[in-house]
Amino acid sequence: MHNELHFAYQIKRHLNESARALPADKTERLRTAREQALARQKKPAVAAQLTGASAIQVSGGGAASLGNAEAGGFSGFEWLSHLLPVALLAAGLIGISCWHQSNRAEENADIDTQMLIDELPPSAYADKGFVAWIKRGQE
Amino acid sequence: MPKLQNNTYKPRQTRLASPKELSDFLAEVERRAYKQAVYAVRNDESALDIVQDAMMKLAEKYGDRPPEEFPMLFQRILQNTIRDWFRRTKVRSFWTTLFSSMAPAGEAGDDFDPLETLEAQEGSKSAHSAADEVAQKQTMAAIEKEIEKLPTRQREAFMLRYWEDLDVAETAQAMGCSQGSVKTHCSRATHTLAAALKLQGIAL
Repeated sequence: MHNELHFAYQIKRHLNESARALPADKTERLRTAREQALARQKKPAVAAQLTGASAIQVSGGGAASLGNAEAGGFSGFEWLSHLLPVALLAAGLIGISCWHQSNRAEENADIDTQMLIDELPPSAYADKGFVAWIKRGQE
Repeated sequence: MPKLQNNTYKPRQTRLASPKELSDFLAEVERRAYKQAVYAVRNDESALDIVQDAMMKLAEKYGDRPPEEFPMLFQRILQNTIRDWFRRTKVRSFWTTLFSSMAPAGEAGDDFDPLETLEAQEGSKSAHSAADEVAQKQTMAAIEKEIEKLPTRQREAFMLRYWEDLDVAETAQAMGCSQGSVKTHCSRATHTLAAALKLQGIAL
């Protein structure tokens, strides 16, 4: 273990030397890359939250939610995310009731067809009204 | 009426990095990062692009983290960027081999010669004697060649652990593997390097 560490240290020494000896064009490119990255550094969220908190404090409790424009945009999204499930539920209920109604109509039609196709019970022939209805349908 | 007071606010983290701290960190790590990328991809231009990418990702995504976390985060991003580069090159080489019959123009300059960068620096150091300098350069070139030859994971572990001075836990986090395999990779890398250098008659 000790040997390994010593060996690794020696390697490290040589690698550091080679990193130090980088040609100027490479170090220049690295410097530009670093500066570009720094220009786009993510700013700590704490600073933004602090300014937001002070704005709320100044405007007072009643207008607290109006203090921050960003917060307004976010609550708009929240409102939408609440509305969406409700709308979906309503659409689902409407769909189910439509489907149910069409089922009911089909069932009725089925019963009518069955009645018309089936053999007539003997008592039907005795019914004058029924005979009259059949005749009217044939005309 | 609710009253907000400053002392009710608690910062998420104890200490966050200032732009100066990120700048110092990057300036300190950039040369080693570039060298690491060169050892991995063996191409100067690609290595520069990789380091630039990694710097950008660190600044954009983690620029607001405490500075103590930078080394581990940056190394993880760097290793992932190198891996992405290999993945992209694989896809690209698939297409180029597919179309190579139509355009048989070979791309030169793909292999990296450590001597090139070393020779460019010739004459900058007058303190060493010429013989010392030559010997030193040869040793350095041999070491770099052997490091390039190491299997990827072994090289990663060795570099993070011994060059970047991350501890075992940080190295494991940066590499996305267990601490046990970090130790295994490190000791294998060390043994391979030691054996290879001994074979060339280089004693450290």
